[in-house]
Amino acid sequence: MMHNIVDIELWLLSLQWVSLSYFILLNGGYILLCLLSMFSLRHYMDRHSLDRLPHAYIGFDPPISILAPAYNEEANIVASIESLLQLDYPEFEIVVINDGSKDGTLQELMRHFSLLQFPQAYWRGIPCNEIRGIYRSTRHANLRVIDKVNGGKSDALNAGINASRYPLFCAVDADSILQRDSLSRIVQPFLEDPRTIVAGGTIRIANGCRIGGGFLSQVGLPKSLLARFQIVEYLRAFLFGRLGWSPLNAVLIVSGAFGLFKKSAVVAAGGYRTNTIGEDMELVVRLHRINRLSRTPYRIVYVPDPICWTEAPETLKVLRSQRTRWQRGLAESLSKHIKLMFHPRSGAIGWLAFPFFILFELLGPVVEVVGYVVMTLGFILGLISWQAFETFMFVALSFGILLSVTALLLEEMSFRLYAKPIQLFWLFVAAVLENFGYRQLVGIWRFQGLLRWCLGVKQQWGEMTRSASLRDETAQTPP
Amino acid sequence: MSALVYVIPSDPLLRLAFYSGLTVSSITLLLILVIAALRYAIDRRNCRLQALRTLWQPVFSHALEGAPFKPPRIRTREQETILLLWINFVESVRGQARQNLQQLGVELQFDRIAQRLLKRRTIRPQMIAMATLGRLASTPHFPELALRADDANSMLSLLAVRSLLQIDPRRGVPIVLRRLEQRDDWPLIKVAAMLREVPADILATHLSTALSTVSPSAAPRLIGLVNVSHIGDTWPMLSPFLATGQPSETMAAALKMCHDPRALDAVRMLAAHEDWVVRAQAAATLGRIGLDSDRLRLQAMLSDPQWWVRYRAATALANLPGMTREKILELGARLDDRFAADMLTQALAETEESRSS
Repeated sequence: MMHNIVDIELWLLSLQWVSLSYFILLNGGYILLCLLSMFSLRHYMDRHSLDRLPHAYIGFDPPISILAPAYNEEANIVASIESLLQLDYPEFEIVVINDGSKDGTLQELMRHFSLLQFPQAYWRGIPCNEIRGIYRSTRHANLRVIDKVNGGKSDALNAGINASRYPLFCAVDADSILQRDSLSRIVQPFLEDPRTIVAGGTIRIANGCRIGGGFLSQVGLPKSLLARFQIVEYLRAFLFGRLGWSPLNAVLIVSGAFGLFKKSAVVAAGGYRTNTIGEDMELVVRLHRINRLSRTPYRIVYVPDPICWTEAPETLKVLRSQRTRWQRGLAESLSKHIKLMFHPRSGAIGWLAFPFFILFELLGPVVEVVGYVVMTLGFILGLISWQAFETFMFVALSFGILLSVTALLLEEMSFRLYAKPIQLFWLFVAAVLENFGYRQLVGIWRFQGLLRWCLGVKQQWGEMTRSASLRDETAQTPP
Repeated sequence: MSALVYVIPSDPLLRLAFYSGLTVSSITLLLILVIAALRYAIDRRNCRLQALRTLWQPVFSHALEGAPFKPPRIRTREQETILLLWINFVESVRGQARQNLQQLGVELQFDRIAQRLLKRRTIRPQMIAMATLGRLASTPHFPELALRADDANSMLSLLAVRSLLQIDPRRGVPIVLRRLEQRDDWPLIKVAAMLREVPADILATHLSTALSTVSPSAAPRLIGLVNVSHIGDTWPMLSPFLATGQPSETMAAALKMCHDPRALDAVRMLAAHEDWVVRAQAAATLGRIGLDSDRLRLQAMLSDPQWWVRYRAATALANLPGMTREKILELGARLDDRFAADMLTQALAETEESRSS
């Protein structure tokens, strides 16, 4: 009996040290990434200090096709498309893909934009579900709508790629708000480097912001603490989660809400996979794999300018669903291309980004949850001393707070969107408080997502309950 | 002190962990102070910038009209901002107003400031300096900027190139074209935008020479510059690249630029090329320069295995001289190939749409 207790104690002690070492390694990795981001951000700001000069490169911007997949978006689709139509860019078209919506999405579009059936000889470069009809607007020459049989977001995007006319396409979420000059900003990497095949934009949280005329008119903070936590989280994820990888050409995630792609590269890769939940990440990882292994020069970059605003969930239920879905997407994308890891030709992707994502992003929640549970149980059962428990929590929390505060520093060094001192103060509060419960909760949800992936549970289009916090204050109520 | 001793673990490993946590917490506190200081410093800097703008905007506005205005003193720390503001003004005007601003820049010795900024190690002052020298049309700095055009940093080298073209396009264009062959990192779009600002006759002369000696691998990039300016007769430049034996990429690039009816025979030959990219470009070119007699050729291309060739052929057919809506519909009705007929219907709708808009 005594022998068994000693064994358990030894086991717990080892686990405690494994967890602690992992925490230090994880946070050390992030701090390195953060330093790289700081360097990269400074470089980016310097490089683009002369970008906004008038008469710079007017008339040479390549035309862009904006693809907006829509599923049961009856309530918001018209406002979203109206907003997209006002984007400030010389030449672009909008292709709305109605993915077999069960509500009146298509009827709303037909009524509002005076759609007429268009006899398009549809190019099926990427396989997709049956196209029921292609319409063009008689009011806006650059607006077309594709009505197709439901097949999911990836299938809708593939249909949009097939129908698009321009060499670059921009995949957007129909419910996101783009900055008026977002296309001019995200196209820059394609103008600067002909090898660019993907440019990912920064997504920011719009909760608490003021919307007018289809665009974000004033940046603000939401009242909900949950949304504020997500603001800090997004700053962390984008400003150093992605910016740090960009100079190494090792960006693995480009958000589905806003990314610009070279059409020929995506078509050659076979388009979006329809059997994955994280289609955006999977495509980017696949593009890396194809180009790395074939030794084709390419660039996948991240643009740190805040250019797309999205609504963050304000209920735990929706947030949980989102996070489990993201974790599943991550697991699927990484597992499908695991051969890229440590491949001799894989460069920074295979030797740095892939192991980092697997060790910290994919398995992180497992170690985190197991670590917290074991420590707490060990302490309750009296197998771990108060001092050990206290020290473990102290180290884990202080690293967490450091990372959140560093994200605020990066924001302050660059875009300073939260201009009022009081906003900065509340972000500090959120950066500290999110480490007491929120991060652990997200860790549990991510763990669940991983379990679901292991068990093969199916998931459909992510449905998002809107809190109406993004209501356009200048929009008229329909009769 | 006693409280601190109480929390410090006695176990060496725990103590190590505790101290690392303490270090991290201290760094966090320090970062919070840094952020607060940064906010204060940036706010102050912005106020200073605003004050500078308020001070200098009237100077530049008066200079635009050639009116005399006593400029304020330039402090060292304000140099970059003032130059940037001046560059913005220069970029937004043309003609006499631009010359007046350049004159002001000369009087204020912006070239000497730029010379000093060029020596800095960071990228931003160097960028501002090069842009300033170009907009000043500072001839004495031409050799230095020509050296900078070889900078490994593409952003800096391109800025140097633009300044060279602004200072002396006659000497600048050959330098740019020569380097373009080696600089894969220079985006063609940016180079084209710069060359568009150059007088067409200068560009035509040097581009023609460059194309006559270009290596096969660099040819498509140089050909892409042919239509940048209205450089008149482009046929002599393009014709060698439409001859058989050229790489497909070169032929496709030349076809894309081709608007001259003298190219018809070569284009007709290329309509049967084995590479579909060449065939598609040949069809598109026939749409621009083709004759009624090309109808049968394009009609045959409607059944090409490649969608893009079919699309270009259908669009070309819809745009051929003498083709009316009725004729296209009649042709579509006669076609046995459903895909070809569909493509023709789409091309007709698109042509009508673009004509109506």
